Amino acid sequence: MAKKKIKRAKKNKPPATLKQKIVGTCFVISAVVFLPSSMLLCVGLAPTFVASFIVRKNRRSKAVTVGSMNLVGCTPFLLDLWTKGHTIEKAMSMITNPMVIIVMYAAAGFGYILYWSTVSVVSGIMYQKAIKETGTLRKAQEDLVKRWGKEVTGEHKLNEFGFPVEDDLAKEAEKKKKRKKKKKQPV
Amino acid sequence: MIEDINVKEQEQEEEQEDLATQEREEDSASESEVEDDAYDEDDDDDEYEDEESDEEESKADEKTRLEEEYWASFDSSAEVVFRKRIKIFPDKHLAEYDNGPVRAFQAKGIGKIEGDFVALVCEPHLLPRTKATNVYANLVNSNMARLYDYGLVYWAPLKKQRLVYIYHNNFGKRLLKPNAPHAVGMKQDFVLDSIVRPLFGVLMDFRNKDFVHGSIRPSNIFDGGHSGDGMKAVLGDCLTTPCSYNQNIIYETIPRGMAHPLGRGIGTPLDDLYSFGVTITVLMRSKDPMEGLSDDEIIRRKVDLGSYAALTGKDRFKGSILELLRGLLHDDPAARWDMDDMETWLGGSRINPKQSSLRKRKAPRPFPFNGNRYFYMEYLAKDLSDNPPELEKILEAGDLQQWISRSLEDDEKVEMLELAYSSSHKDGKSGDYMDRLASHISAALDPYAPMRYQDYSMRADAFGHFLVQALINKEDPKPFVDMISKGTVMNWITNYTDQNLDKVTLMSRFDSCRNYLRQNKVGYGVERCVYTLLPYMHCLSPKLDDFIVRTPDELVMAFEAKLRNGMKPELFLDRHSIAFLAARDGRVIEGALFDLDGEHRHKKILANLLTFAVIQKKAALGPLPHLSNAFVEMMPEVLEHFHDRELRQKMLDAVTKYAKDGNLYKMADVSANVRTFNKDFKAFKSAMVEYYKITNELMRIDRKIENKGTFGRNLSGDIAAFISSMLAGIAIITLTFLFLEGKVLFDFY
Repeated sequence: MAKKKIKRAKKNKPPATLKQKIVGTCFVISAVVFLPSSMLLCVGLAPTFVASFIVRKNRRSKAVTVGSMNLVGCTPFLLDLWTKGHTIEKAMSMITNPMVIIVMYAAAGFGYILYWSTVSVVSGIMYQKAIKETGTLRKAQEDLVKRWGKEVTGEHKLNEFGFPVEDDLAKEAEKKKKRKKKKKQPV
Repeated sequence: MIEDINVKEQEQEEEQEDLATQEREEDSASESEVEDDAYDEDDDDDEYEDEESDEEESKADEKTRLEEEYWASFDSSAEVVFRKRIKIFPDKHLAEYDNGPVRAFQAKGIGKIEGDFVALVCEPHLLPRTKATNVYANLVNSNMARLYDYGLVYWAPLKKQRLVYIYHNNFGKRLLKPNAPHAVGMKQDFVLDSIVRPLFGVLMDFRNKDFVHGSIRPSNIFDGGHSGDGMKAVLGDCLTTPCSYNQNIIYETIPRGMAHPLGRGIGTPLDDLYSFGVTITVLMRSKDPMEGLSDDEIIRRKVDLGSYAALTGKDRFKGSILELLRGLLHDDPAARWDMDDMETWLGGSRINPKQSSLRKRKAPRPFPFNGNRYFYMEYLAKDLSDNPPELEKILEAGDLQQWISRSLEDDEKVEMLELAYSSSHKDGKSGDYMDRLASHISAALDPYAPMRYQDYSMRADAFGHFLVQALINKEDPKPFVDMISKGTVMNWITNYTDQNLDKVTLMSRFDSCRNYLRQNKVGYGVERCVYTLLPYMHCLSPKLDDFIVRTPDELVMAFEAKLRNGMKPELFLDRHSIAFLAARDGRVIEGALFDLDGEHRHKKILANLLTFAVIQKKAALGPLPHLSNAFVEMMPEVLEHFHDRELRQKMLDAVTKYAKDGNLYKMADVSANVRTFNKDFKAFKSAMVEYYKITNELMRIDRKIENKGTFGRNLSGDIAAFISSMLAGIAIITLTFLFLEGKVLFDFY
């Protein structure tokens, strides 16, 4: 089933535009040209790639948060690479250095922490706000019912004047009762 | 066989000829012989009529007994004061001044108003002559009853309102007691000097003002308190009942006598002169030649012999008065003396006899109908309603047309008959066709006679009185409805030949009535017909049973009084009062008619309020606190039909405030405002939309907060990304600057 879905998704995916193709081509050429930097970033930004792959489409905020911090972690080593010899060997030495990896991944970790804490705080505030808003809205509804009657809710069948039909029926029933009582009363 | 039949036919013809000869002989015979013989052939009928008259007498006795009981129910000790000027004594009944069912009571002036008065208390079912009263009040003549005032009074003994006519007590004694034989035997000179000449002056005044008395008879002429030669004749009341209602049949002309007393309608000055002629005859004659005869027999006698011969009988009058009586008692109005003729005669001149336009009416051959034989069209016309199916047969066979054409030689009448016959089945032959046929043919045969339908006999201008009687007695008004809607009345008006009848007005009124009867809504129907046909009729609403309401403002005041006396607040206007208001002043009720006809009680309450408010403003009535309070009590029923509870309270406050001033108009302006209703309904719709929107919003929020874990993740993630991006930007720039300044950031290698 899952395979079928993926196939369908692939089939439904629109073909890449010319602009996308040009950007992609440029990206590949520059990656080849700046291969040492590319190597460093490929390894250093691995948490970002993971974050962007595991989140759903159109929810890139987590990837952006993690990626931004991850990029900050890569920045000192990238600058070092560019100024002290932009070679594959240099890049390999950096990649293989555990401290470099720790720094870059720690920055990504900070991004994760930032994302989690912000989401928790903000969504908590929003939740409370929504609860308060429902209270206000319910009060507004109560006020409307108080001023305009239960018929304002639209839950009752209304007569031509906008009053509940069941009221009319109840009144008629009352009248009938009265009439019956009158009839029963001895003259 | 054929010969036998021919012989039989010959025998029948001979018999008929013999009968015709006998009739002719009877005509030429002396008056006394006529009196004795003319009705010999109707011996069996006489017996039957005797029985009928006995029945009538017993009914009359019963009626009198009931009336006595009714009046005896008075609390006679109660005091009645008329407009703070006249005190009426209900315990002092002046029977000698009663006018038929209208009772007379002693009255006295209060304070500066001196003298004795007679108060005639009208009966609510008999409409007084209001229009004629206004004319009468302006007449000044010492030989007629002097009207002091008239109007409504609270008749305390009955605890009901009544219309009273207050006359100065200048009456004296009646010349003839109401139930006495119609023969006084006065001397000719005395009658001439003491009655004819003084009352001639009164009649002249009547003519000048175009007034018809309609009640000239010896029992309604008084001696003014002086008997003998000093007698001063005073003509009594004629206003308290419909015209000629109390008039004995002998004082009425033949056509008017054929009508029911209630259906005689307003007469003409010539009818008054006829009554005056009969009055003079009765006063002078020593024996009543028609004593003991039924009304029908009196009419027949008058038709057979002529009024003069029928009324004078064996009495022989001598001198010039004979000329006067012949002139006044002429049955043809065209040949009857008018006031000018009488004036000339009183001046001592002779009057040339006028040519009568009436054709000879007796047929040489009788017409058989319903087992009787008829020589006169008038009799036949009168009895047609006895057997309408036979009438249809003879009309289809053409027998009646043939008789009129051959025996009466009146082809014009045949044409009228054919026209009436065709008009009678214009609306089909179902329902009241037979009655309609008899009525149409009767009107065609005798165009001077009153309209006849079933057992009713009336002129069109008195039609309304019968309708009133039917409604008051809770009888089925269907015959009257049929008479209007099926064109019977219109047919009679068209055929009626008396030029004095205001045909245009009557036709217009009945045409309107026909339209009203087509609709069964409130404000229309038979009730509206009553008030259209009788412009001075008081409102017959059962809710106003104790009141005489003649105008819209009296109606409002009557309800105010009823509420003051403890009436519970309820819907005031019913079918009668709505029809009454619509007929009297349509503008006061036209805006409320639709709601009054509806099913919604709150709309009816508002329509009642609106109508009363318009009347209050239009008639500039003062504060009406009881009515106002009644409407305030009913107001919650109205206000619950406003959606806005705040508006309800505001309106109730405003209405209560205006009710304290008794101002119905302002109350109606607040509560019966259509714009307020519409505005409230519009606002209610907006509120419904708002409620719906809020509901949707709540549903949306509820759906979101249902899963607390995912609530607000997108936004908060975006915020985190933003913060992170900002921090990263700053950090990268800072690191770049530090690196460019030569500082070593990490020294791992």
